[in-house]
Amino acid sequence: MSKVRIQSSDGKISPIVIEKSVDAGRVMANIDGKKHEVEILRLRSGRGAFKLEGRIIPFRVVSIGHDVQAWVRNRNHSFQIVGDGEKRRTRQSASAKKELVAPMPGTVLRIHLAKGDAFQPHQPIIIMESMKMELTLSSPGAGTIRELLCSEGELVPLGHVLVRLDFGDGS
Amino acid sequence: MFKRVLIANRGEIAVRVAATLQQMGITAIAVNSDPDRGALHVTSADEAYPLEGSAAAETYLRIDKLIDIARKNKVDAIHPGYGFLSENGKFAAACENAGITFIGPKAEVIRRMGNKVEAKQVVQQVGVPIVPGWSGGATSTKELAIEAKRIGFPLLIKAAAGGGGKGMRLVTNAAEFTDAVESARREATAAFGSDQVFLEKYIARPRHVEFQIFGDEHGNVVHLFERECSVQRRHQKVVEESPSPALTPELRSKMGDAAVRAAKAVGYSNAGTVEFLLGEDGQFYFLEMNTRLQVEHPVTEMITGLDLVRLQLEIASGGKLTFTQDGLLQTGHAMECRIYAEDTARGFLPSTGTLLAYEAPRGPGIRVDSGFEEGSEVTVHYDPMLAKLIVWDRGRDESIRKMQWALERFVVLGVTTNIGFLRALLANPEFRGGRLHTHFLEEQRIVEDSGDAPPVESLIAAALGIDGAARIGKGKSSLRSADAKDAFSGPWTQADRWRVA
Repeated sequence: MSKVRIQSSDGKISPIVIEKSVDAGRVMANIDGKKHEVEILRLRSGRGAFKLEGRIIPFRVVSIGHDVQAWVRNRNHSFQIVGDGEKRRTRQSASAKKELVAPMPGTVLRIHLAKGDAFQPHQPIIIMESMKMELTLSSPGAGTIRELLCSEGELVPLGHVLVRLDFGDGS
Repeated sequence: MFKRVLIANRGEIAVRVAATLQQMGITAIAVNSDPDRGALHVTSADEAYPLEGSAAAETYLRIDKLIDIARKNKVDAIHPGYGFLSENGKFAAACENAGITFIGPKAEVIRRMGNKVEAKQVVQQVGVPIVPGWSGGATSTKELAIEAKRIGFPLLIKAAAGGGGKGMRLVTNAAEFTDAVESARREATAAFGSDQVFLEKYIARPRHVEFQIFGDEHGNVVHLFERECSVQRRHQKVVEESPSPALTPELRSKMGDAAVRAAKAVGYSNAGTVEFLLGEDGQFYFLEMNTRLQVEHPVTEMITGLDLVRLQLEIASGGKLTFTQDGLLQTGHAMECRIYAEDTARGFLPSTGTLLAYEAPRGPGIRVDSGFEEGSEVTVHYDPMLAKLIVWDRGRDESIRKMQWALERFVVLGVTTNIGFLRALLANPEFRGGRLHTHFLEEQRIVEDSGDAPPVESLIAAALGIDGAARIGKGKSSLRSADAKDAFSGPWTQADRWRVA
């Protein structure tokens, strides 16, 4: 028997219990207390197919840490594995507005302002380049640059905090 | 025929060119940047030589390094692919000077057609229609404003040396004109080192219809029919097809003749593409000429049954075209979808990472050209196109159905792709009806169907495919390239816990 709790991208958590039955290749999947008989046709290295209510379901699953990506019968899905009583936050965090974050991995091409400089709403602050494409990151409101965390020419990963912003509201 | 050909490119086009070389008994020689050492285009070649460095500017764009490698290794011809140095007259000239055949038109032809202003003047002289506009030399913004009034608004400002939408501005009224010119000039200077711009009447809802042409070095030029490439985002093509749903046999023959005239006007040899804008009224206008093999050339290969790379090699080695215009047939319907590593929901932002799973669809009339395989890295250094998925069938409806089937079975995990977006696009009634134009994607606002709650089957698959209990508490919270790489070679990525007994 194997137990796993899976959180879907819509936030819903489903506890899943897989029970092996006597018949080789046949398992019982208990999801949220509801039982489904599954006939495993093939399974190796996260790749396989099973039969559910007479239908063939081919699939492919990969995971890195808690993150699971699956292709299941013509669709991609992403999940997270969660522990008992645990729930994960979705990607966007509340502090996002006070930081400019790299929306893609790439090179910092230009930094228009220095630490302490004031900016107006929608003023361009950083220009990034990735795969021959330029992207301008602008200020969400008026304020000053609190901290610069990148330099021109630097290669940054997705989600890298590039600049911290002050909006003069004491935060 | 050549004995040793160097491919001055990477990715899918280098893989595709190598295949034809090898089939013709020619040694296929690859070059590679440091991150590309184990790339598919290297492992599918016969020999490979390193271009030290990572960025394109220090590797695939270095004429000196390429010529040096070619000389040292007794290369007799260079295939430039598309992009990189393929439309660089200096590169073609450097090859000629080194006594190496450049597989493409002559350096002088590349240079002339590369200047969009000169190209228009050349084709206009042989009666090929161009978009009403103004394309004089370097001129003050004031003089441009006078010309703008004459042409009328809306109009487009374009960079003379440009492409890919850089330095391009749409101006709807006279008040915006001066600011728009200044801004276009700045962008053009940064991108191409020249601030020369030209003006063009803005054609509403135009189609992008291009003609594949082929010329030999004996004065023969034919066209291999059209490709409709109206579905674009940010001036990058997404879907291409042939025949175009818009062309009647009469219009096809008129446009094809114009394309051949344009090519003959410059003494064109080898493969080229003449791009036209086609208005809703059936008027067409010369846009530009691409002096190389196009990304979307497989569409033409599918409807003509010809190997365009093979033709390129035969012509470059002095051969004659073995067929005439009347001997060519456009059979059935072919369509290509470009599979990009990008997040369509977030403004088509590129996505990078490791291809943890990559399985291309297979079946009759389905072709996949790709430079990636399972385990490949998608990096920030190069183009985010993962693959070209091309299908052929009897007619457009059948092609669309086959494309849908193939997209549904294209498995890519580890990076975000536009596959879901393409599926939504192919289901769009306007697309199905063939009512396309270059602003189609912006207008239709196609949204990928992300699905509601995951079906039970996907939860079961996830539970079967992972070794859940073993991983809780030791994982990281997001997919990152470096982690992914470790994970890919690591023992715990793809668990086998539920092996069938």
